Amino acid sequence: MSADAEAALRGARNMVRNAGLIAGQSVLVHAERDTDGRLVDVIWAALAEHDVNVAVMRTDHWDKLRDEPPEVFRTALAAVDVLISTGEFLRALDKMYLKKAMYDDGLFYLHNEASTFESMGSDYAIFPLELVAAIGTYVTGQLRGSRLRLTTPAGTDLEMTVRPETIGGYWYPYRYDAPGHKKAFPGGAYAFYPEGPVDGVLAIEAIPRHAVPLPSNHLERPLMLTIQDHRVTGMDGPCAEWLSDYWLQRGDENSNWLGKVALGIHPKARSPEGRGACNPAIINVGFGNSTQYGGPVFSRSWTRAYVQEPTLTADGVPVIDRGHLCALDAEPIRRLAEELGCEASALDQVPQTLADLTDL
Amino acid sequence: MKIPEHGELASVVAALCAASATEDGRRTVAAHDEQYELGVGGDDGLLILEMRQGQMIVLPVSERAPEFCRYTRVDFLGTAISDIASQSLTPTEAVEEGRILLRSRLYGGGQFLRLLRLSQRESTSLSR
Repeated sequence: MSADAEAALRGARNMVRNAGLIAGQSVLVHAERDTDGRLVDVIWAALAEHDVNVAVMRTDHWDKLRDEPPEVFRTALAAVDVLISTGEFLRALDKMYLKKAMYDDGLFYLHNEASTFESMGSDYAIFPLELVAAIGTYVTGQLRGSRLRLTTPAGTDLEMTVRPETIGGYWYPYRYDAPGHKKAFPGGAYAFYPEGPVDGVLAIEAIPRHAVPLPSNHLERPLMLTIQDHRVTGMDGPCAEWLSDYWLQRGDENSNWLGKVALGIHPKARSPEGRGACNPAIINVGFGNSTQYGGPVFSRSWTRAYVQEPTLTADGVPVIDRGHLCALDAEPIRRLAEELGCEASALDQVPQTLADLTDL
Repeated sequence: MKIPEHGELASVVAALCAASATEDGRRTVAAHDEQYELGVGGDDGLLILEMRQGQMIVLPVSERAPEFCRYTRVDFLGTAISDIASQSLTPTEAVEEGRILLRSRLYGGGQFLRLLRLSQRESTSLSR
């Protein structure tokens, strides 16, 4: 086996090890026609080291946001315990076929964000998930019960609080233990419901794809959103008309409710090989249905947006300092990295900007 | 298990108990530990349904423990309970339509929804 294949197998083993599969389970690995066969092979090889039944299905590409999957794929989901997708995220919050597979039939959905063979062998996928979990736990300790202030060079200045029981994302100890569960590998998204009072300004710099196409995903200047008591009460800038129309056409009275704030906590997350939005230099927010993030307000719509180079403070103490996650310098995290045998550079944060984010 | 008297919520708990006794139900309950605080119409929670070490138990709301990543608030709105009982609505559809409000984090309420769905299937098989 080549050194590249050995490294990629190490990444795949990191994914499978932490999935905690149960003997006898049926696992479906989904890949598309153009997925690198070497990536599929190492995932298969890692799965084969466990007592599970593995099948691989390749399909043509489909638009994960706007289209339904091939019927053969949808049908197969009813017959397996675990689905591992290797390409684009299957939009678990948007697609009813997947919600039914998970919640009605108990499917466990694991999305692999190390989407290339090279990425699977990189320090992004090999990064110990125990360390991701420790970083998340450390950040939770910083945020718990604090008054948070989020600012960015583009003009964001927003205050909020956080209740610990609404904290989630893809970073916690990582194992299969529930039907209807979904995970991402290697993760590093840290999300919470912003508890009130939530007031200030969000300077949106990018908006990912939505069901209604945008004029542009990368905004040439920030879209300034005024937030009062959780709700967007004013907007000015590019895509303001799109957002207003989108909420009018697809939304309801709660579409403008700030329902999620998500930090990136994986220091090696970088686009396009991995999920750049999990880099601490990027923060994503969501408007609409807050119940899925532990909030009280339901909406039929969900709108996401990004800001970059954030500074986030908790009672005045920096949690993220101009895009750098302060937890990466914390002594307990450094010590754990050393105990896990990581290289000295393991906690060095790689750069990521919205302009370089390719999975919008 | 003693089922508290909470009107139509008692029928939900009874159905979940029946479902939890099936093979799929046992697996679902054993999947992980979590507290579900159940309520009707958005008012205060009426009871706690707790999955603990493979057992499902009913507790008073005074034992509510919204532990980090291990707690979900469930509200049945409108006719959601009767529509689920009559099989005209699945739990997943109810969530999609905002007729069950799940304020959830780590597991997205999957364990509860799965058990509720199993209770529908169990009810169908019993009635045949």
